[in-house]
Amino acid sequence: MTSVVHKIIYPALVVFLLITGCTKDGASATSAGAGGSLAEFAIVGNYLYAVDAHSLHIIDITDPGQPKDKGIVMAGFDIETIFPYKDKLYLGSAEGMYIFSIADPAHPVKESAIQHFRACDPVVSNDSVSYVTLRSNGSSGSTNSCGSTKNELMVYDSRVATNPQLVTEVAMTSPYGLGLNGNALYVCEGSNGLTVFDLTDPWHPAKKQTLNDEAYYDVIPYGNVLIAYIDAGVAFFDVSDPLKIIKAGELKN
Amino acid sequence: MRYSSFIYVFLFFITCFFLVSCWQFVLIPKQNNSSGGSSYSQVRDEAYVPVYSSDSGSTRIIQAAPAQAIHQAGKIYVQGDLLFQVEKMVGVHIISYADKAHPVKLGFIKSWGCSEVAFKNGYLVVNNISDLVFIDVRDLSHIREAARVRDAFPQFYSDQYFNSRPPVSGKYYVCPDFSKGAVLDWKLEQHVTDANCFSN
Repeated sequence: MTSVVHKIIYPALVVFLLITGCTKDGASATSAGAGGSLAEFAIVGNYLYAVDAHSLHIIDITDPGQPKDKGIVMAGFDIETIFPYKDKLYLGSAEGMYIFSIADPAHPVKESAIQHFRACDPVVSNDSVSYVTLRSNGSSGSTNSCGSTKNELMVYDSRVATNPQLVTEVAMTSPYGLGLNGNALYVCEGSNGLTVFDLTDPWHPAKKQTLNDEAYYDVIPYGNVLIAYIDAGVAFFDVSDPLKIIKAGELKN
Repeated sequence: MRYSSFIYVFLFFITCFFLVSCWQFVLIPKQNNSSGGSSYSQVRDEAYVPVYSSDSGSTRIIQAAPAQAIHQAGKIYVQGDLLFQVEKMVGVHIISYADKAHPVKLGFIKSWGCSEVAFKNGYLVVNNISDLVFIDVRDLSHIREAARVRDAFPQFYSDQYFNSRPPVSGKYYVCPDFSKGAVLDWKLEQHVTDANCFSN
């Protein structure tokens, strides 16, 4: 009898306590946070990376109440956005995309720099593909001057981080931020809505649907929820099925 | 002696030359040239005028405030059930979406010049003009500035340069003069001279 208690009950109790302990403070303390593709800050582990036009500012936030300035690394030109994925940082600049390795988090190392025509260009990425949107100036709701006339979604093969290759370009109307979620890619198009792409073939995104109910600027796929930055606030979608987005609620004004 | 003073004069003029080109660069891209012959002394019935930060200590502070309306929605950051949304140039909304159908604003943090937000372990990271500020929000009734890294976000100034225009398109406005400080807000005024920029 006591052996049963020792072998089963105690371990079960320990596991139970661990699980409940995790769920209790999970919301505020242990789960990882996430920003949108337009972000100029990125937190990865114990480091905060802040984009400056030409550099990356590195801050050790092991204790976020006592941040330690770790200085800057020169990055490139006109950098506007930062997207972290695993041990890489993908920087969107007005002139191209930069990939940095943060295998050593305090010392980011540039792995590649690709050039494109001048435009606003957030980037999101997974293990093999990087999706970049380029937006021209002057589209409705725009507040940026990016000096381009093209609006496109560009698909790069970034399996070799030191040598990304352009695969496809998809014409868009007015792309802003974007988000990757399994086999779905969500591209915000300002007052032209939110477009969902099917990534069954990740190299050739296929337009599946466009939501035109709001002006969409950026999205964060977060587990089964898609959080969208809309004109008047935020909107929440259920994306349990990534290709079937269902509005769950919103907060406006 | 004479030679070195010549060098100084030469350097002075070279410096002026470069500074002048900067000055032009600040003004020209934002001017509306389509109105043709628009004179600098033209008075417009209505135009937006920039409100500058004096950038004394009074704008480099963080303050907690009750939940408030979203006017100029900005970037977002999520952790768990908490969502943070920037109120452009003004601060950050703290939102709980534990019930996605009925998200609730929990509070607001004032930070002048705010455009960026992130969050880790109960600490909110925002920019306050060009400073990075770490705010302890573990207890929403006792929000406090925990740390500040001065001028770690110079991007604020380049964002200002590209994004400083009135919230409404199709309006004339006084082109910002960044030597007067950062543009924290816009006021719509009557009978405005020198409103030579146009928001399209």
